[in-house]
Amino acid sequence: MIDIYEIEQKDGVRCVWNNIPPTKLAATRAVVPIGIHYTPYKELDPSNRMEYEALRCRCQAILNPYCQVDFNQKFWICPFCTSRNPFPQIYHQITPQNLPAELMEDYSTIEYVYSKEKPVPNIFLLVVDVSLEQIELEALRDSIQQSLNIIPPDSYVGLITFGKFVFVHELGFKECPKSYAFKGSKDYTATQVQEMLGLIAPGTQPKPGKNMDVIKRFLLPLNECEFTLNSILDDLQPDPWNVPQGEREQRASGVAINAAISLIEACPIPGSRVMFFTGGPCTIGPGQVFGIKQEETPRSYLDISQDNSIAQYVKKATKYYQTLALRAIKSQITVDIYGFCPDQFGLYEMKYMAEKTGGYIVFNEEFNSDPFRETFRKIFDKDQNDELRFASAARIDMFVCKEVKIQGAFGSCSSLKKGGPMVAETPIGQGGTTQWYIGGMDRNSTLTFMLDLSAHNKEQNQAKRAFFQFQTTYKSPSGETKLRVTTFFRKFADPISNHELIQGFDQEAACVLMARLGIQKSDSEEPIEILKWLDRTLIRFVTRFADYKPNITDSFKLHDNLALYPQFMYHLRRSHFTQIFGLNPDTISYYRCTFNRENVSNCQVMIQPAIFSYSIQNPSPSPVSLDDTAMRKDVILLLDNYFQVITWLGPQIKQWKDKEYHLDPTYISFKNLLDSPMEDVKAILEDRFPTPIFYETYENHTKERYLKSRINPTGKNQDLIDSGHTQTDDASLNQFMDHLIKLAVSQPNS
Amino acid sequence: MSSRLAHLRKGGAGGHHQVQQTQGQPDQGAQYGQNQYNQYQGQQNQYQYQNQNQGYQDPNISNQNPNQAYYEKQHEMHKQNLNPNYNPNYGMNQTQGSIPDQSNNDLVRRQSSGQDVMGGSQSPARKSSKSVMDYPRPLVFQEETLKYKEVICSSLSTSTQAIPPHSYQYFIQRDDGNAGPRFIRPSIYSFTNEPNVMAQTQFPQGCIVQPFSDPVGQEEPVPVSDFFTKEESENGKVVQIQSLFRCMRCHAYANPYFKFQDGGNVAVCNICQKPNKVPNEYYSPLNGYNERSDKQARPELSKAVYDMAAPSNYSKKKVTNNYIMLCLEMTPATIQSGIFAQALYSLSMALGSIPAPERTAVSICTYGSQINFYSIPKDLSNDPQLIVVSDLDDPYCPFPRNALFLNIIEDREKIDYLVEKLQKNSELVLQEAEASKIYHVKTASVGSVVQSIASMLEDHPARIIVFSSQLPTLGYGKLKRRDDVKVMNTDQEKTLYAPQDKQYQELAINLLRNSITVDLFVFSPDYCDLVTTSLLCTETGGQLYYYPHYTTSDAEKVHYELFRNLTRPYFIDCIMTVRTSLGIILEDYYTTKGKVSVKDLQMSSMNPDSVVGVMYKQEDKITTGEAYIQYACLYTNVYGQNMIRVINLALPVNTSIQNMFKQGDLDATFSLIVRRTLSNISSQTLKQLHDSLISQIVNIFYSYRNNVAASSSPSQLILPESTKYLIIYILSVLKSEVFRTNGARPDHRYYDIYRLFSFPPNQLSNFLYPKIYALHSIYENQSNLDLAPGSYIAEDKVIMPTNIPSSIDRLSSFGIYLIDNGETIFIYVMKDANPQLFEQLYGTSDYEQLREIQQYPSISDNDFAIRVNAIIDQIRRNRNGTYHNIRTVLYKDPFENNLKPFFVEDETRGIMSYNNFLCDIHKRIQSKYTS
Repeated sequence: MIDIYEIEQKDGVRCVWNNIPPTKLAATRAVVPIGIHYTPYKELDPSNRMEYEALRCRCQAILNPYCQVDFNQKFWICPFCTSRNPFPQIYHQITPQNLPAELMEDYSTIEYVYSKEKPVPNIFLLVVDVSLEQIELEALRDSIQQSLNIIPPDSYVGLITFGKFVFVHELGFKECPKSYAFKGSKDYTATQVQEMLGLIAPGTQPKPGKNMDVIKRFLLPLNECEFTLNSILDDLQPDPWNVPQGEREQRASGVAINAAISLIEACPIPGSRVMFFTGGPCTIGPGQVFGIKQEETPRSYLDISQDNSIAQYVKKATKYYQTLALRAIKSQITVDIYGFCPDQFGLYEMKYMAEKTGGYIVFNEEFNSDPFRETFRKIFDKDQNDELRFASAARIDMFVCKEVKIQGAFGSCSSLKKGGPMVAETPIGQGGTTQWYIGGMDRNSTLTFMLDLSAHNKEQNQAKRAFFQFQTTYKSPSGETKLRVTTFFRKFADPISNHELIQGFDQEAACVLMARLGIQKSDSEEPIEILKWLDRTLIRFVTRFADYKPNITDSFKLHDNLALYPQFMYHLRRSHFTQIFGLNPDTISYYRCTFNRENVSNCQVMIQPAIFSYSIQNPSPSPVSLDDTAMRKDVILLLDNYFQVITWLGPQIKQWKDKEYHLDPTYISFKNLLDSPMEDVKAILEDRFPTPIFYETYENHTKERYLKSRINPTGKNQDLIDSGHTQTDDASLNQFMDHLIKLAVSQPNS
Repeated sequence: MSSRLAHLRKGGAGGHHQVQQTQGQPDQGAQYGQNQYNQYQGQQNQYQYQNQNQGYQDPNISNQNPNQAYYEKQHEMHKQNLNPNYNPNYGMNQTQGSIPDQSNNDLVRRQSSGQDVMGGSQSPARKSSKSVMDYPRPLVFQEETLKYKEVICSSLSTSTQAIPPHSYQYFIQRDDGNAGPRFIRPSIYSFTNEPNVMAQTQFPQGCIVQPFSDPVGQEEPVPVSDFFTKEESENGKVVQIQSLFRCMRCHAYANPYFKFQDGGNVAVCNICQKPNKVPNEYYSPLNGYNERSDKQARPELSKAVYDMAAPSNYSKKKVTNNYIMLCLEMTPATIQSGIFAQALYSLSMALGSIPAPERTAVSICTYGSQINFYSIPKDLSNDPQLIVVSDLDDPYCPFPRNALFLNIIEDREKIDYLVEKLQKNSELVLQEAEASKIYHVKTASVGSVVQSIASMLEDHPARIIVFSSQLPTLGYGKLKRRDDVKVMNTDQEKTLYAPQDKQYQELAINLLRNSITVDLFVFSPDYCDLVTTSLLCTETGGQLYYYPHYTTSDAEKVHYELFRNLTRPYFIDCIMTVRTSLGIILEDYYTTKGKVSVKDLQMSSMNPDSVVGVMYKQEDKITTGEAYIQYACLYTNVYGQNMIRVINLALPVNTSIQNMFKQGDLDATFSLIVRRTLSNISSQTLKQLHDSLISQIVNIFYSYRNNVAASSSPSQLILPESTKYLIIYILSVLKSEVFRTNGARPDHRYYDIYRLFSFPPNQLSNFLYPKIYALHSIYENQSNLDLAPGSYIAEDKVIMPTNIPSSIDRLSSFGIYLIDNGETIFIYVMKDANPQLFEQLYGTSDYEQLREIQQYPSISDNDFAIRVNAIIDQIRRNRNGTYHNIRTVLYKDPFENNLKPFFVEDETRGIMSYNNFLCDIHKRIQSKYTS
């Protein structure tokens, strides 16, 4: 029995099939594709860190515990290309008893640090929207100023502000605050921007790596420019341009980001981070997402799919931001998008910039709110190793043995189009490559790799194991270039029985994989098609793996390893990852991008929110099923769907609270009950990045809908029925299961 | 009394020719004795308005006695004697190697009768001479300055066929129903019944208008007619109703010449003769004289020049604030030369005197290779934010108006703060330049700077003042150098006077559309293509200032000019038109840009110094007894009120061509000839222009000779009294940079043309014929010091000293002279000047120490200095508030050479002297006559 959590803890790897379907046909019949979730920057034991260079095979794979080593002849055989590699001189001491760490299984994940290189500083280029209300701007400004106290003082910081115009602030100018203004309505080329900033002489190209001194006019170590930066921020005013009645603010987000990327391109320092803060849509110039007139309503999902006149800006803007994303990738820039506005701001069009570069996307209502303040504070929070939360400029290479082919990857990454024999014929997601650019990543960033099996591999029966290696090169928060290598193998399952397959099935990983696949499909398919596809897959899956007698529903039985999977699918069907009802394109983009970035367990929470119940009898949290039956009069519920944390007070509790019993010392237990979930909420809010929104709701409270939309409407809760309303037309989980079983057992077993 | 026709006669055997001067008739001689001043009034000005001067006679009468008295001609000038071979072209008229008579150098004597009207002469040696040359010279006579001449301009007086004084003379005008010469001067103060008679005179037909001319002395300001505004209550609300009374047909505004009939119910338009019904609210009964009983109370019916509020729908633009943007070139060059600091200083000084300060906001931007704007922080202990715009090809301003402009009163502290910071910044720029040894910085073009500001102003009227010191080579409107020496003085040179690209023209038109005015201060020692950049000024009504060789001694001039520019009144978003009596049609306007052929002329703004030339043509008979010209200008004043200025001129209709000549106006005639001719600078060669100028005046004099003085001897040069100074004026133009061939530069040439086009008449006349006053003669021959030059005889009236002809030969080495060229006052201290005198002015009696004194000190603790200062004040006052700076020039001063062009009578740069030019003109007239 494989402990998938232990493996995840050790290597950051979650395989959908821990025993791999042995043939291509078996893989097809397994219904759920072969996928591996990998978290490349998962916390690693410091002892797994090596301060020397990795030893590479001629195929670039790195020496690992699963190599065959000939201690006499001093050579090793690469499990991926099976070539023989002689050990260099310094390895000649090795014996079975005297192994270098990388040959030991405990070191299946190992990190090499090239300490010879000079650390590259962190670069934060803040791109700040000033087309804001005074109060919003002040909140944003205050947060930025507070963060200046915690940003590592040797980090390079730059500032761009924008409204109708874009101002690139020259922090290195000592005499007075100075900035360069760019017209918000104009599509500048990078060269134009660089020339206008004086970074390059007219008619020349930036010299790579040479002009750190030039760029230092705009990007300075915080400890050198803190005063200047603070005085600029102190004087930051909302954009002074008059906004005529019936129009939106003029906001040149497109030009601002272009300016930021162009600035860094003049001296591409790997891992530079463009932090884009906006309070509304881009309304002028390239990258415009909404019309300047209020009467032009924001596009909905329907408009986009119909490509009608309301969605007239979508294609052009998307293309513009995609181009920017490509430039950012080329210069190894990470773009964060912090959109804090009550309505949409064009995330749907902009998301590529963050998604493809490993940047954060945070979308919330206003800057003047706790989620923003907390999120922003956490960006620069140090972890227990006294490091910032994110690594940058990450690039990942994947190696597989010849039995396996790489189809593609999902998540915050982009294909670097490095083909080769390991690449499968039909790409999925970011495919056609063995190398991806990740950009920024934090401890949770998780990629999903899709695998296929070689079509005509006769040796598969002999090959008991499939080998995998991930090589992630990245810049650590402290500026060192590191190489993390994770090597692992999975056995091929017994081709005859399902048993090994079922034994190795990771239903959580499978669910996340299906969700990511569904999100991927949603770019080109209608939501209803995706639902149908999910249903079809699920039916095929249970038909394939459940124990049942044909047409006898009661005989239906699922193995424990599979038992929760239909339930996950039920919730996935109701989640924002497949449903678009009632949500605008920006919000959906936000949820989906976050889902694509997070690790399996967080994704799981997004699909099937965690719910806990607190009662006077048992004030400590007890998990309950995500059912309306949990909404009892006398309990407090805590629902966590990752983006929102909601407490719900049962009517009785609400009544008591209104009567302020908790202030009465005689009802100390009631006070304890009220406090207990709040402590948990606090812990979640503190822990999670970006900080979720917290709602305290109760019966008939407006925000109660966030709770009710996610729980299973059994319709059996007497308390709810008493209060006289039902929440949804959706089928309940029971109905869903009944139907599923009926369909499964009636299918001809394949 | 004498018409003072000059006669030029070929000399006798000795080759002498003589300038013969008709002399005053014997009875006038007696009159001179009686009243010197009146004599001058009659003699010099040849006009009568209301002050009847019985001395006036028709020139024909005096022509009948051509030989009454002669002045001996002094035809050998000092220089010529030094060089016997001088001027071979004209040598045929001269006696070779003739010995100069000392007396030839004597000062002007007006009359051979022995009356020395100058009231005093300089040296005994000179005084001994009886023989005085006398060419027509526009001099100001001391006696004349004893009091103002009052020109009462009334409807009646025009029919007396008198013409007003020349612009350089001292007068006060009073509007009694007809517009005064400060506002409008027609080339001829009359029309004829027969249109061909008008054409026969060869005069240009037109007028020059200075619609917002400042009042001088005790002149009354232009009245405002507020009768058009009525308050009526409507449902308890007070509603202002504006109703203008205009002619229904030709839209002429009500004026003193509207004839009210039918008991006051009908008004006949004086322009188009249409009877208009008088609306009830405008009705007034007629009195016994058939005039409206309210005539005197209504400016529009009793004054020829008046303002009135325009209905709000007359102007589309709303002027909510007066914006003034100062754009300074901040480069090592401008900082080092002090231009930058000077501009800031002058701005600060002027802030307190800018009109309507509560509505006026200023801002400063600087530019070098980029354009810089400044945002003032809330907390003035912080530094201002410097915003750089480096997209010069598509320039913009990143701030809206309200965020950039600082109100003069409310934000005065911020302005001072900004000025102080800019001063500091400029020092840093200079330090940086010194550290890097890079002094030359390519600069953004004036076009891009103006464009950036214009884009911010959008459609709000404003004024932009730009300081520039080099050919703009970066950004929108960047220019190429094209002053190739190979092109100069060739047929191709004319191309240099057409703009080199369309961008400036397009920008200028855009500025005009938005009523934005651009004033340019240019300091470039090198070519900077004023022709192209100045379009921004000339199209919008702004002003061009050019200091090609700026040194710190020019600082004062820059100060006064910027100060004047900022503090003079201005009139925004002007649109003007001219309506004329039937039979006369409007042809073209002439602005500083040249000819503009439109019906309604538009300017972003105008000011008291703005002059517009108007050309019209009499095409048909004029059936009315008087002809009328109505100039009307719709504008917005600095308080945002829409106003209309109306100027009415009534002119008599004559039959006689003699009268036409009599009533010619020197200033308008000259101005129109020059404008008409030099507007062609970009299409004709200099030779063509030169010939055209000469032929135009020859045609006039020939016509005069032919039509009026046909009976006189062909050997006599007979000139119409009214315009006889045309010769010296044209000669002055020919000597200006406009026609300079040796070492000519296109910018200099263009700037002189610009000055000829832009100067108000009074400034232009001194520019053409600088006035030289002998300061050292103040005390000479004065029995009564109260009447000596420099004495105040009225509150704002000073007796002026002797005005001597503008010739170096007229200067004594003992003299101290004041030279007024219309722009600057020079105090020229000659090498043997009396130290006691200049000590009183400068506080030192050591001539060499004078060289140390940078600025003219305002000493007022001695009589001489007080007098000189009074004289200077008088000159400044007479120039309608245009300030002259004062510059001291000494013997062997490097600057001394620059004075040479002011001696316009002398031969300079191979261009003939005045007397030779007279000969030449005479010859041309003769040859035309004989052919």
